[in-house]
Amino acid sequence: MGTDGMDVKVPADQVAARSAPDAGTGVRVLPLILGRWGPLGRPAVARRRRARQASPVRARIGLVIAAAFLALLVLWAIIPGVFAGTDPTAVNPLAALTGPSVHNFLGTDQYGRSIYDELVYGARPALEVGVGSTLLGGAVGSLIGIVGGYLGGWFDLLIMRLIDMLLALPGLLLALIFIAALPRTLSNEIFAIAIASVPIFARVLRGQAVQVRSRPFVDAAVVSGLRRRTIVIRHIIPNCVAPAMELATVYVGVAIVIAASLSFLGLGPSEVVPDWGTLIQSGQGYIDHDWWISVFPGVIVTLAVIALSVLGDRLRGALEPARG
Amino acid sequence: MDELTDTERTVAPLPGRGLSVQGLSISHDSPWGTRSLVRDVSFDIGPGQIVCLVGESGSGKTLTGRAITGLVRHSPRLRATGTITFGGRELIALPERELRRIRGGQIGMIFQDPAAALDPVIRVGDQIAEAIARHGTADGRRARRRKVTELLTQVGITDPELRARQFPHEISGGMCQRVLIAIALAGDPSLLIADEPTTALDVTIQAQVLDLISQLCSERRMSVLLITHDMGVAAQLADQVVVMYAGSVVEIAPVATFFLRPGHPYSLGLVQAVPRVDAPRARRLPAIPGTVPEAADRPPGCPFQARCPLKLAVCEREQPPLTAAGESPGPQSPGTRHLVACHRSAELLGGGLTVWSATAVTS
Repeated sequence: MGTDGMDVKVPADQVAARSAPDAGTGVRVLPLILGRWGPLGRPAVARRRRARQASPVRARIGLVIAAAFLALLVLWAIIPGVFAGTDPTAVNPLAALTGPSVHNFLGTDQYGRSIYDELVYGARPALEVGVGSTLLGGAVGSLIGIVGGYLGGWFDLLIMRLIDMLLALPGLLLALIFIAALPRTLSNEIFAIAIASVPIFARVLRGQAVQVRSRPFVDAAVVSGLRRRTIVIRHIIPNCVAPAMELATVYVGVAIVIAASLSFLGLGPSEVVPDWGTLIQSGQGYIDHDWWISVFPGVIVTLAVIALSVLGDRLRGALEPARG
Repeated sequence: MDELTDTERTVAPLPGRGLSVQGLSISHDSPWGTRSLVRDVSFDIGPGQIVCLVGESGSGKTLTGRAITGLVRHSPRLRATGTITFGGRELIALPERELRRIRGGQIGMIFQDPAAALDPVIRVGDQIAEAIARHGTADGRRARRRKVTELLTQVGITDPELRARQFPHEISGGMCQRVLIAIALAGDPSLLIADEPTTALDVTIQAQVLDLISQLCSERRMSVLLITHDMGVAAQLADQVVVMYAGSVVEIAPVATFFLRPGHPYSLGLVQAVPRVDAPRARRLPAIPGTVPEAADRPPGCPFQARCPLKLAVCEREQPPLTAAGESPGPQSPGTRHLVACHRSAELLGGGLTVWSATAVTS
């Protein structure tokens, strides 16, 4: 980096200030990931893309791993009893804060509950929030975007300026505003996160609708005498499905992160036990020695997001209608 | 889904009365001013007649076709004025609701790029069925499916039941154009607007599609407006040729007159630019130098003046009106009339002028 040359004579207190985990840490870490030699840097990404194109097996392997992991999460959500003990909330003070072992392979929390059991039982509320809020927000946002994009004119202008205002706020903050005003239930959390997703879906689907509207088959539909409503339902919407599905898949992951973040801040639904975000939060005080309480749920959330974005990426390729 | 009621259907105009375009102008409004794209275009198409609209790219042919089907009003910045009379009704001022009944019903349209004019996510048969349902030419699912098969057979598609189940990307470009024609025929139109229907197709398929259009035209006594820049297409199909240049009509002539004795220097240039097998080989094809002027900087006077070898002082001042030309400048019947917009057409037709002379190849 450009600051390297200035490191020659730095007072001790400034060195201490630098190594502290301040806001600058993230900025210094980013080049390690996105830079020339990082895993998400341009050369690495290009190399992987070439590898994907060269070998169909390698092209599928990421997708297979992602799909398998997501299938596991879905099974956890549907039949948690098969994968874990019957009661994830059962307290066992004698086993509190034990590290990963044969009995509890992801360790236990401060009340002696198995982290693994809590993760398994936490899958259901996490997926409910992720899928529920995406379906709700995605449907509303997509409809707004498609109608605005197809109709154009003042309606489009008005709606999109409103959407711009909402987009100026990060999704978490937007969800926070609504959840703070509502009773803390699971359905309210779904509702709040859905609202946060509306501007994103509206923006993306408007772009798609504008692009589809200008294609000749829409002119052909107009010329064959169809009504505007029929054209939107029969021709515009089906041609917007691919990007909507891609975005929705990725957004399920985003919604899971927002839900975990809300729980971490103590704003999660009060009736949901166990909850991944709450688990991360409760391990916060023990992070020096008993790291497994926070780390394993964090890993699960991260893997879920990565798996969903891999799936979304490939889904688009598969759904994109063939042309020509 | 979108069917017309019986009362709506009874107001349909009588078929076979043809189309009349009078003084059609189209302008484009923008914050930087208004540009006139099509100026004072008038022509008629009689029942069962094929009229070819020819001209270079940017001469306003496509816009004229789009104005007739009312697509121009869907572009917020384009404005069409003038009158378009079809089946006893004026289309430009017609409310959208009523225009929708005429579109796809009495007027069908086919497009330049057939693969793009079909919705990629809907099966071919369903796209035809949609048009049938809209115009009520067959009721019920069974009847519609039978009608789809019948239309596909009519446009010369073999194995219609298989094709109906396929998606547009599974069939060839020529077949896509046949499907589009089938969609246009679904409402039993008396006017077909074909916007460069063969540009995207290869030559053998071009010939087949053109044959199909002319055959349907004579069978159904359907009028056709064929927009093209291919003189060969015009020679093969047209009853009458309308030449457009820079947004204006410069000549209207029966097809034989157009190719043998064109009255406008531009038409003459177009005709002579066609390669001929019977011409001496060691000649360079005469070409019209220059390009069509941009809509923004069209000069006053004749639109063709900048490229015209016969230009006089009067051409810079006055735009020549479209007037009757030829040996019999009396009253002419609509099918055979010959109109030219040129100050010197009389001299040109009199044979006293040499233009666009072919030069020997120097090599």
